[in-house]
Parts: sequence; structure tokens; C-alpha cells
Amino acid sequence: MTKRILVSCGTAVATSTVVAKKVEETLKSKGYDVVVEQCKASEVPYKAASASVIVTTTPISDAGNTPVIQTISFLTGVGIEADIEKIIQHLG
Amino acid sequence: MTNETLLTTKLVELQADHPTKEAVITCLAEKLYEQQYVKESYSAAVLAREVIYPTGLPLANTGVAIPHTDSVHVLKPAIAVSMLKNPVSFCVMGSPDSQVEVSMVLMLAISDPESQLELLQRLMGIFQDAETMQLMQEMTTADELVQLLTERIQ
Repeated sequence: MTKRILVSCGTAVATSTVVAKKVEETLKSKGYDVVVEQCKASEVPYKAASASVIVTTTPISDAGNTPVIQTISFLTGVGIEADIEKIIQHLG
Repeated sequence: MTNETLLTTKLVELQADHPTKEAVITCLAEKLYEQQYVKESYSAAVLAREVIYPTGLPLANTGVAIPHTDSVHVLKPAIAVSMLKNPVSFCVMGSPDSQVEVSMVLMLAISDPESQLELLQRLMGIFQDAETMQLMQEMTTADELVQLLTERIQ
């Protein structure tokens, strides 16, 4: 079954665009069936429920029961692999 | 869209000396406004966004910041660059209580995230490439810096 990943940042202009693409490419190359959607941090409360996991560059509130991974590794390159492992754990 | 117009020597400053992050942001925003890449509202919008969603990134060997804001303030895409003589403190993206000493500021004027995705990806790729980052710091003229960056984001 396709898993949904939500990627959020402050304004959904620069950073979440890059993070979403990187997450999608990495997981698909590992054979995971995922769809990645980007949004503003302020939109997370409305979109969290349908996602398996949320990856965000900025702190978010009200993600409900959806697990949240806050990281800037996809931008700085420091610690990407550990974060990919964390995302995979939540894909079940 | 060609990268030539995205990045010009008029949008680059080397050996810049600014006391604060606000001073860097204001200076770069002014360049973008003078060259008609952004609206007058851009500068204040970037400053306000930096407070709520800081853009400092601690890289492996140095610190950079990528101040930007909503595309409604942007007329056409560009990158303005400030290479700082003395680092200034930015708050870390996602961790507003932490600070990072930044030696390079790349201010992004993004008009359409989808069409500028590749540019943004390449830019983040540069951040993860210690060799290019080191080369950028060693550039002595704006021409050299624009040429190097243009090569690496094409």
C-alpha cells in the first residue's frame, strides 16, 4: 500500500521543496511505495492524519498521533542516513 | 530561465563586513530590489520570516544561511550572495534557540518553487560538497564567484 509522507517547513517555498524531493527519491530507490506531499508548518494540523510520518525542518504542533521527525539533515548533509532509517521505521 | 540572470556580479559582495544578520539581510535585499528582482515589501518580509523560521544551517565545516520569503514578494528568481569577512550569528533552522556562526549568506528570491526545484537542489548539493564550499571562500572577485556558482548549479 502506498504510504503518505508529509514534508513541512515555514513557507513551503525553498526548504520543504528540496527535502520532499530528496526523501521521495531516496525511499523510492530503496523500493518503498511512497507519495510525498509538502506543506507549510501551519497546514500540518489539517494534513497530519492522512500521513504515516511527518518530516519537518521547523518545529510543528498539533500533529495528532502522526510521528514527527524534525531534521535539517536533508539540507546540510549531516546525518541523512540515520534520518532515512527513522522514516523507514514509521512506514511499517 | 537561465542561471546567468539568476546570479550576477551585481548581486554578490565579497569580504563583506556586517555587524548583524539583519544588516546582511537588509543589504542583500536592497541589491535585489535595485536590480528589480523583488518588490519593495521583500526586505521586511524576509526579516520577519527569519525571526519565526530562521534559516541558519550548520554545515560540516562552516555555517551558511538562506534567508527567503513567500514568492508574492518576488518579481523574478535570483540569488544574492554575501561572503562575510567576519561571521555573523544566525539562529539555526528548526532550532531558534541555537545559533550558528555564518560566513556565507545566500538570499533566495524564489518565484515558483516547482520550476526552481532543480536550482534549490543543486544549491543544497553545494552545501554538502566541502570542496566547493572551500573554493567559494577562496574566491577573490565577484566574477570568479559567480562563475564558480553558475558552473556548479548548472
